[in-house]
Amino acid sequence: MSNERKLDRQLEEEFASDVLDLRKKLDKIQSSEALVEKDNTKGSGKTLKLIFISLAVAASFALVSMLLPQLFTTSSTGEIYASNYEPYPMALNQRGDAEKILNDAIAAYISQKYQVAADAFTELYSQNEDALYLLYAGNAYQASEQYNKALTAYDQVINSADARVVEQAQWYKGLTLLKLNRIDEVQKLFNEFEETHYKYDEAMNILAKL
Amino acid sequence: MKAGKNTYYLEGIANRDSKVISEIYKDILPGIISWIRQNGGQEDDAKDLFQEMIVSIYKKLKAGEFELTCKFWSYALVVCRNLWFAKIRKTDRISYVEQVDDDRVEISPGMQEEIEQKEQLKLYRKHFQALSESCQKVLSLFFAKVKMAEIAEKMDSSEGYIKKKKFKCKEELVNKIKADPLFAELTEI
Repeated sequence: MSNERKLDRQLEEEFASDVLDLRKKLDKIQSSEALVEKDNTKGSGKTLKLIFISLAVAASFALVSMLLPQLFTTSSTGEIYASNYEPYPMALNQRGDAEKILNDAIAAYISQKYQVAADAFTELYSQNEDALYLLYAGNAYQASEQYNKALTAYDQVINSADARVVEQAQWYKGLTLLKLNRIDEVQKLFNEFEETHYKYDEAMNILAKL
Repeated sequence: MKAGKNTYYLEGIANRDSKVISEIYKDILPGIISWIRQNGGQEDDAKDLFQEMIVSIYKKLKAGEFELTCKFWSYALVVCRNLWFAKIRKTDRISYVEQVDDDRVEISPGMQEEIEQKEQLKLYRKHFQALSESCQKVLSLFFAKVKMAEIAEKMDSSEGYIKKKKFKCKEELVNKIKADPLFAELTEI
C-alpha cells in the first residue's frame, strides 16, 4: 500500500465520528476511575483528619494519652508497609508446552490469582529445589495475606544461600514482619543489610520511621 | 460461559456501550496494570495500551475482521504484553501465538502492527485537534462515511460548501502531519 493511501486509511479509521465518540467514552471511563481513586484519597485524608481530632481530644485525658504512642505505631507501620510493598516482579518467561506447571504458575501470578500461584510455585520448588520458585511462592503467599507461610518460604530462601534471591527474600521477609507488627525483628533484620543490598536505602528509610 | 462473556464484551465494544466497556475496564484492566507495573511501567502506561487495544478491536469489528478464539482476558494480556515489550524495545520477545492458562492466544500480525502505530496516531491526533471545530466535525462525519448531503444538513450548510470545506480541511490536516518532522521519522520505521 502506498504511503498516501496508508495515511488516508489511517485518518479515516482514526477520525471517523464513531471512533472519536468511542475515544471520548474511554477517556471518560478512565478519568472516572481516576476520580474514584482521588475520592478515595480524599476520603483517607478526611479519615486522617478525624483521627487527629480524636487524638487531640483524647490527649486531654491522661489515661488515653498513655495509649497514643501505640496507636501511632499501629497506624504508621500499616502505612509504611503499604507504601513499600509490591509483589516481586514476574521475571520468568513462559516456556514450551512441556513446562505446563511453570507456565500456569507464571500466568496465575501475573493475573493475581495468588493462591493458585503459591501452590504451583511450591510444587515447582518441591520438584527441583530452585529457590527462585520459593521466592515467588513466598510472594504469592504474602500477596494473599498468608504471612506465616510467606515467612517460612522466605526463611528457606535465605537458608538456601542462593545469591540470586537471598536479598529479595530478606527484603520481603522484612516487609512481612512489618505487616505483622513484629517491629523488633524488622529492626534487627534491616540493620543487618549491607550498603550494597539492593534495598538498602528503602530499608534505612523504614528504620528511620519506626 | 467463555463464549458468552466474550460475545457480551465484543458486542459492548461494537456498540460503544459505556456500561459494558466500564465492566471490561473493571474486569480486565487491573490485571494489566499489575503486569505492566511488575515490568517497569506505570498505571498510565497500562491505561494507554488498554485504550489502544479497545479502539483497535472496535475498528477491526467494524471492518468484520475480528474473531476472538480465546478468553478476552488472555487476549488482552498478550496484546498489552507485546505492546509493552515493543515499547521498551524488547522486540525479540513479541509473540503472536501464546498460551495463557488453558487458552491458546493468537494475535494477527496486522492487529499488532496497527496497535503499534500508536505514536503515529498520537501525532495525527495532535494535528487533528489543532484544526477548527467545524473542520473536525466535517472530517469526522466524512470519515464515518456520512453522505455529503447529510453532513450539509447537520451543519446547516450547502452540499457544495461542505465538499469544498472537507477538501480544504483534509488538505490542511495532511499538510500539517507531513510537515511534522516526527512524521518522517515514524514512517521510516
